[in-house]
Order: sequence, then C-alpha cells, then structure tokens
Amino acid sequence: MTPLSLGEAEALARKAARGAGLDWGTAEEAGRAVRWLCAHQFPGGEALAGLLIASDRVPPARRAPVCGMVWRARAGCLCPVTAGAALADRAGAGPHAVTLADLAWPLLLLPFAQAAAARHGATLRVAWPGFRADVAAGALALGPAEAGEAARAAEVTCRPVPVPQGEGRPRGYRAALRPAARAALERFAARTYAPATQAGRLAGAGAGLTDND
Amino acid sequence: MDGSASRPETIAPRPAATVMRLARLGALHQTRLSFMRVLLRRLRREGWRFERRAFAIDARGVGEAVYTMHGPERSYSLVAFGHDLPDAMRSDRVIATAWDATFTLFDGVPTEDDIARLRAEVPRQEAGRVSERELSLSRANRSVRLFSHVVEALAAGRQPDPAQVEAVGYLMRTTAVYGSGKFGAADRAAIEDRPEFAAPFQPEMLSVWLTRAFVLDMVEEMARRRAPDRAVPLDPALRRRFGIGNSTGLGMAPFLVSHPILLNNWIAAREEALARVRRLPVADAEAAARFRAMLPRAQACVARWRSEHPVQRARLAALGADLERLADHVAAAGLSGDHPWDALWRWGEGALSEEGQEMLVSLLLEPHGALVDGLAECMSAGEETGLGLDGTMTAGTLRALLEEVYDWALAIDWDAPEAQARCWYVSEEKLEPRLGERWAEEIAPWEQPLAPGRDAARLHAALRDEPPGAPVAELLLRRPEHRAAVRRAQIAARRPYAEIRDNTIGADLMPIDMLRAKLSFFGAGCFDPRSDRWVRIEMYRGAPFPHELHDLPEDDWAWPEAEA
Repeated sequence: MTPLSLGEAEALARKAARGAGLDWGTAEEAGRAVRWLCAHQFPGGEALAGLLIASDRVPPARRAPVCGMVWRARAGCLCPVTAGAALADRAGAGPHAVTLADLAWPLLLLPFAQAAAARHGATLRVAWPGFRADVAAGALALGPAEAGEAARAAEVTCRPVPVPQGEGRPRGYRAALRPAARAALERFAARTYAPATQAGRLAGAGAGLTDND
Repeated sequence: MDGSASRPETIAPRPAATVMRLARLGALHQTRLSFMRVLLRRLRREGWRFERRAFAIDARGVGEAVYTMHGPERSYSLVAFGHDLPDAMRSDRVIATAWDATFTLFDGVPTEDDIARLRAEVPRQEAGRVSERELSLSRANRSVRLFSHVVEALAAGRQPDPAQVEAVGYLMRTTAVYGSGKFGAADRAAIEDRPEFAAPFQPEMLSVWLTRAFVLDMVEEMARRRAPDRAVPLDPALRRRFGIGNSTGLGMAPFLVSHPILLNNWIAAREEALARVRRLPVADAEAAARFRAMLPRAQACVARWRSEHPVQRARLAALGADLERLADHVAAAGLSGDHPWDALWRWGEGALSEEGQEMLVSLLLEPHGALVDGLAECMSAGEETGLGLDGTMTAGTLRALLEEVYDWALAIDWDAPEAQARCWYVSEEKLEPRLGERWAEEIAPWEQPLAPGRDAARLHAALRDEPPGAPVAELLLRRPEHRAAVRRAQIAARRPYAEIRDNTIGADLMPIDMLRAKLSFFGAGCFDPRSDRWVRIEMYRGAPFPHELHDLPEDDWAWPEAEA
C-alpha cells in the first residue's frame, strides 16, 4: 500500500466524514483525529472507515452523546468523533473522569483525549478491555493494545492519572492506510464533489482570456 | 482617514476593519517580508552554495537537470524534466495533462535511483506520486510570445529585443506549485523545525527560484545546440530581467479562508512592521535617502506593469497618479519633521487610492530592514496547532465576540439573493475548488465551508435562544452545524487579522482579490487579472541567479531600476 502524507490522510478523512453526513466542523475534527492516529502508527483511517460505514448518514445531532454520569448514545453505538469533540470541548473545565458506554471504534477517542490532556496540562488514561493508553501534551504511552481495532467497546474510561505509564511511541510523518479502508474513505469523500457540468467547467473555474500566449 | 492627530508613541497596527476588506487585500504589493525576499536574504546571509549537478537538454528543450543549493546543514535539489509539448496541448488550466517542463524539489542530493523514480512520476504531475523525500511538485509552460524569439535571437548570435523581454517578462510560467503533503510530498510538519523553513512557503519559493535559473540555462543551451558556432549567451543584466511567470486560478482562493491563523500571522507581521516604522521619531539620513531613491523605482514598477483587465487598468492609472502625488508631497513636505514616517502615512491615507496606500506600506518598509525583517520569523503557523475549541465559553461571551469580529456580517441581509449568490464547491472532474451561481446551478448540496461571515451570522441567530450563561458545548451537542463557526470566532478573538471581513459568497465577489493577497505575500508582482478568477503574475524578476547571489547587493532586486 502506498503511504499517504499526513495532509492527504487528514483531507481524505475530513471529506469522508462530511460525505457520510457529519457537519463540516466535526468532519474537520475527524480529519485531525485520523492525522494524529496515523502519525502515531495507529490504524486511524481504518477506524474512521469502519465508523462511517456503520453510521452512514446518521444525522449529526443524533450522533451527539447524552453527557450524564455515563456518556451514552441516543440510539445505537456512541460516535467517537462526536463524543471525542465534546470531551475536548469541556477540557477547559479541568481534568475529570468520563465513562462512555457502548462506544464505536474507541481508538478514535484517543486524539481527542490527547487534545483535552494537552489543554489542561494533565495526563489522561483512555482504557477499554484489551487497550490502555496514557496521553499528555506531546506524549503517548501505550499499555496493552490488542483491542486497539475494536469496532466497539461496552465501556471506555478516560480519567486523569499522575504520570504516563507504558511504552512510548515516536511519531511519524506517513499514513499507511489499508487499501479497503482507503477505498471506503474515498467513496465517502466522493460525495462531497459536485457532478461536473459543462457550464461549471467553463464558468466555475474561471476561463477568460487565452492562456496559451 | 482619522482626522485626529495620533500620538506617535502609541501608534497601533491598523484595525482589522480597515485591512481585512477584500478590496484592500486585493491591492497588496510585495514587501521586504515577502517570502521570496526572505528566502534570498537567508541564502545569501548563510552563504548557500549553488551547484549545477546535471544538465542535459537538447535543441528542443527535452532532457533533465539537477540544480542543488548547499546550505550550512542541508542541501536541496531541483530535479527538472524538459518536454517537447505541441502548441495545441499547452494550457495553464489545472485540467491540463502535459506541460513544457515539470519539477520537484528533492530533500538532499538525489541518487540515480531517486532520479529514475522521479522520471516516472514527476512528468505526470497530479497523476503521479512523489514521496517524503520531495518537498514540492510543479510544472511550467513556455511563453509562446517570448520563448522562440529568445532562442532564435541567441542562436543568431544576438541579444533578444529588450522591449519584448520587458513586455512579457518571463520565458515560462508555472501553472501550479504544490507543496506540503500534496501528491505524497513531505508534510510541512516534518520539516517546519528547520531554520531555513521558518518562514512560510520557503520550499516552494526555492523551487521556483531554481526553476527560473533552469529555464534561462535551457534557452541558452537550445540556442547553442542549434548554432554551436554562432550562439551567444544572454547578457547578464538583460538575463536578470526575466522572471518566472505564474498563472493562478481559483484553486488558491480558498486558502486564506481555510488557514485563518496563517492569514493572521502574515497580515499581523506586515501591520506591525508598518507600525514600527511609523513610531520612529525621526528619519535617519540613510533611510530617508533610500526611501527617496525608491520612489522612481516604484514608478518604474508601475510603468512596466501591464494588464488588459479593465479593473486593473483603472487601478494602475490611479496608482501612477498616486506615485506622482507621493513624490511631490515628499519633495514639498520633506522627511525631517517629528515622526515623519507617521506624518507621511497619515497624509497617504487621505490622499492615495488603496493600491497607492498599500504600495506606500511597501515603500515605508523598504529602508527599514533592521527594524522589520525579523518579523518574517513570526509569519508561520504550526500545521498541527490551534484547532482546539473552548466549549466552556458562555453563549453570552460568544455572542459579544461575534458582534465584535463579525459586525460587518451581521449587517448583511443574508436572505437577499445577492448576498449568497455564489457557492464554493469542488468538482468531481478535477477535484479543484470552483465558484458557482447558487440560484442557477444545482450545487448548494456540495457547498464548501468558505462563507465564514454567513456562518457567523447563523451562529449568532442560534445563540439568541441560548441562556447567556450556558456553555457553548451544550449548544454544539444540539446544533453541531455551528462547530466550525464557533472555532473560527474563537481563533479570531485572539488574532485580529484571521478573518477576511467581507462576504466571500456575494454577487460582487472578485476572487482575484484573494489570489492577489496571497501572491503578494509570496513576493509576486505585475498582477494581471485575466478574468475575475484567475491572474497572471511574475516572480523573481530582477533577482540574482543562484550562481551570482553572493556577487550582487543584498535584497535589492524586487523593484526595477529607475527609468533614465
């Protein structure tokens, strides 16, 4: 598989999320999340592809978590991008523990937890059965990770811990997406492109005076 | 114009409400802080060494070349491919599939294997694939008008006609220069900690500068191949009169909207530079002399600036008159009073057109390199920072913020058809941004998020129903469609120049204003709009070539010599 640049992976993820029905602002969050995951050698593109396939065209407001003692979906599995964005949005209130029930593709929560941790200068531990990662500003420490590609987790916790524990993982600058995931994201992304028309071809791109002189 | 006398010691940068209007942004000119000038100053100061490592070009311009700059720590190489393109296939449009020459900037010195890999990919441009060893991907087309004339003249043993050189200005124009992460190239994040890339777009600017050198070498070589006994090289001074052209269309226009932090940092640096000059209590003799010497050079710049576009023609006429008024005013009022630069600036705000005022900014910065050049280091924005959103901000605070930053947008009646006449979308065909007519074409479902003013107004309306003390995170759970607008408002709260303060989807939008603003920061000149949505420019005209960088005065090329 040809690796993508991080910019390409981010743009593909953003467009795919939009194509699957997320609003542009949340789609941008999805793009940043996939970029972060890929830079840390996690299968972020695969996770997003899985999420979008399972939640295609779910209206944005229906993806939003109900943020009680335990964060839950309104229906079905909780969307990790929407829940992650809500988690990071609240970071200004200080580090606090959150439990999320029935979270789809929990790996996608990790970059948002990292952003929240960076915002309040703390370390946050994200864990579900078979996976544990501690994140802080510029730091990632990985515990068990065999369930990193889980399509859902019944319970995910995100809570402050004193210091990161686990194996460090250096960041990289390429995104290796498996072909099936990439193809799925491209199919979603293609929905953001308007069908070409002859009028658009001429006017939209701005043909004017001759360009061959 | 602010009629009250400003207190010079507290001169602040200009307000965003003045600077960030599209008409104003569409009147910017290159300055000392332009990225081409920043690059060449650094290469010269750090003693970068040029090496033409490979050059094999035939009489038709077909072949390959490698041009390398060696710096204190690293080297960079332009790998160039010359092609023989039939005239009928030559197009500057992004939909073209073949070009006269194609390029990539390689990170280091390429091996034979690297070049073999690039030979298979670079000539295909968007259809090919480069790697993280490459920092840019670009192509150029010949100027039909000038290229043949120059080759023929040199082959006949004479110099080309200077009038034709002046009239066209370049032998080739680039039609796209892709950088950071595009088509597989290295992400900016991977190289942004290198000091030589501290300022924005430095790999792209380096690539274009080396491309210009390659093109000039190419015409001389083609002439030599055609007439080995008779051909002559270009006279060095005339040679420097060739820039590299560029043709830029709508693809670039959304950039300023989608990079608000970067836009802020560019404009803030320029505005701070102007404020610093205005705060000087006196004009020292050297700076005053330099400024006076620049005035006829600015006039020469306008004299050679040609455009067929009626809007630009009118503006050039006004700019020419502005420069005469400016010269008269400086001659009459002098530069010896208290805070003379500020006095001159305030005169200019009342007396000059927007093109003239913005050229005055460029001229005021010109003699003050020591005071302003360091600001170039503040013009970048980390690619991976600045996207956080503070959901604990209250609805009341956000409303007040919107009323401050987007007052202009809240004054627009967005229900009026002309207010939303346009719609930015991406076409399936070429995956490039386009601008359509919202009420005439079926494109709204594919609208790109490039109307921050309208979206801020929608957010403002939604906030009306929120309790003022409620955190905005609550609103975003119910109305996620406002997330992008909340983030932009929060970015703009701390960065006054982050938002263009004009309608980017109105019936009267001129996308070339957005193109020009960006290109002026690159250091482009002679903006020649070819419609309301694409523009031709010149880059590096007058600049030293790599082999002579250290033999010519530092950073004295961006304005033409005064006319005799």
